[in-house]
Amino acid sequence: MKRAITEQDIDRLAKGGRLVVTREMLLTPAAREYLSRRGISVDYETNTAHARERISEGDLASIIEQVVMEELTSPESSASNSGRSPAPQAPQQVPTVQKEGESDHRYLGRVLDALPQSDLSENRAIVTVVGQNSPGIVARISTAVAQCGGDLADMNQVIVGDYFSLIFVVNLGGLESAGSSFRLFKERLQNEASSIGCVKTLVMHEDIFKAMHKV
Amino acid sequence: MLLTMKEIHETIRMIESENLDIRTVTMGINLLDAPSKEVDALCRFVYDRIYERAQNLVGIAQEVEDRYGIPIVNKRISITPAALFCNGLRSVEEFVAVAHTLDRVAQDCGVDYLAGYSALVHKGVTAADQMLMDAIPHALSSTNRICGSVNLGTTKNGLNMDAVRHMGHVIKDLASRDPRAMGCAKLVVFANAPEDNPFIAGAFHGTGCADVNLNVGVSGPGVVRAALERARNQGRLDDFRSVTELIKKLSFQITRAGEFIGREVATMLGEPVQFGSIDLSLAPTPAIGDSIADIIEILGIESTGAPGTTAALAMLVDAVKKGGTMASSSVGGLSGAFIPVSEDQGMVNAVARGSLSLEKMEAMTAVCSVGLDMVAVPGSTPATTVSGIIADELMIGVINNKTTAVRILPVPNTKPGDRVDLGGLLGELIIMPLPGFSSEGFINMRGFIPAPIHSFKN
Repeated sequence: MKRAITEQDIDRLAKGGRLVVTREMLLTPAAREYLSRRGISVDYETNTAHARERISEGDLASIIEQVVMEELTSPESSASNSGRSPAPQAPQQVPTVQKEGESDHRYLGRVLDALPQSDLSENRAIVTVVGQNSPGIVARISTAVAQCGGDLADMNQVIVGDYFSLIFVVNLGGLESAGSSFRLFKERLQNEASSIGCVKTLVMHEDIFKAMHKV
Repeated sequence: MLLTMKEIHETIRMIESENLDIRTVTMGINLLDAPSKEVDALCRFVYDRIYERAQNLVGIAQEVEDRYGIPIVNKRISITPAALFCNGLRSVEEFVAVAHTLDRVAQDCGVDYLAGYSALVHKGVTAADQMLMDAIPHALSSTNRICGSVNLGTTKNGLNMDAVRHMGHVIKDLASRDPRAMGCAKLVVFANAPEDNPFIAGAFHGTGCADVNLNVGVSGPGVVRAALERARNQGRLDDFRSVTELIKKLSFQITRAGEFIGREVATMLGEPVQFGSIDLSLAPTPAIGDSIADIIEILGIESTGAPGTTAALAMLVDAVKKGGTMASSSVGGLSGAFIPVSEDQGMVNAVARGSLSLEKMEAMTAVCSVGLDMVAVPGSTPATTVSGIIADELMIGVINNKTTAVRILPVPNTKPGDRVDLGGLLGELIIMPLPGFSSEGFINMRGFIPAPIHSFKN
């Protein structure tokens, strides 16, 4: 389980205008707002190399095995990893033994449930740009995304005649460490898009889509 | 779990071209602890309390709008029924003064409307209730953002016909104070009024609610209409099962969006604001295509009001409710379908074509929708006839254990067929003809129509 970090926790945890966020910590929206209000910078102590990479399905099984072994063999190292966290988490109870008679996919499901979720998967924006087709649009927009600390997760492009519609799915996990915020990110993209003649730019947080489409 | 591009496109289409929006976030505020003996102290308290609770409502709603890209059209406030917290006042003038204070604080908070200038008289009228009803014509005609309501009957208590008769005169008086009878657009009479309704004009903060609630209403007729139209064009609109399935699915999505936004706004407002409920009603707007009548017509009724209309509307609303209750455990408010004539361009067209009469609308409200809403009649209509229309509509609610309401505008110096433009979300009125026979004898009888029996339902 991740631990939610609220406004009250921040005063306790932040040292010298810096807050170190470990994998086990989850900032609430109010806490994020509080951080930016107080001008506290956020450092993400990452061990999320796996999450950042695109994983092919074939590699999944071996990665799971590797993570399970890591969690099992070195609970101390994972605790020291989050050593700056004042309340160290209990080690994840990742199942390592397939029960008798348990099917493979049920076992895999149990393993996946027990693994920590990636922070990055919980904060994305959907960026939609519509306009007249001209070269370099994707490059311009994606550069702006990167400069704000965003990370492209997915992209889709439809071209009809002279017009195109682009949809980017952007991970926002790096926005704060790049000194940006959702509002600045949105403004930046809208300015960028209108400067290259796009007629419509929508920047929407992913949660509204999830609310409507995922149960 | 990644979203598919199809899902992303679907949501963007609903918001960008099918008028999906959050119709209103309404903050309900408890004022029962107001000191009610002395009017100046009361007004100061009311102003301070409302301002303290609601000053951030508009700003935060806009922030949420910005983040999720879905418009929140109205930001509103509802309060404890004024007759309750003004119980100690001693004159009609003092009640009017309270209305002016409410109007000022609504303006200072930047909200569109403040509702709850209300009285609950279904079991009898207190001195304060009487003064509030008497203050309504002056109060609503001299303010811009205040809405009032009076609950005249409930299934448990029957219908207070003395109050029904009185409200006929109040409505006529209020209408006569403006050439377009605008004040009447801010007044609604109820049977079985819900305590957590986010929609204007009938919103108030019920006595069973927490100190501060946030209730949400969604729009969405445009989304349902567009999806049914696509299904029809693809030849998929030929059996009732597929129609209701489609509507249920859309209602689910619309409701999820509404609840999500409501909870987000409530969370950002912070303590003591609690998310209250989401109202499932499909709320039309004068925008082309954002219309309940259009949906009925896509289902194969040539013009709304033709035989089959009541059945089509009943099926539509039932499917909306089924999808919505699956999507949220906090369904509340009115949760029917609104068929306000002026606010729904398709309804205006149906009245203009002569297919939709007041009597047919009454039938439609019996199965599903909330009531006779934004109905205009000639200014010469006697008060007893207005009361007769109210009695008919509210008795449908009392007998059937549902909410019904009347918002009627007897527009001065008009005759049937005249058009009156109210502007903005209120749209355009067409004056509807009435049979021309009197209900005076019945309306002038004293007392209550008794509560109905709950057995032998036929």
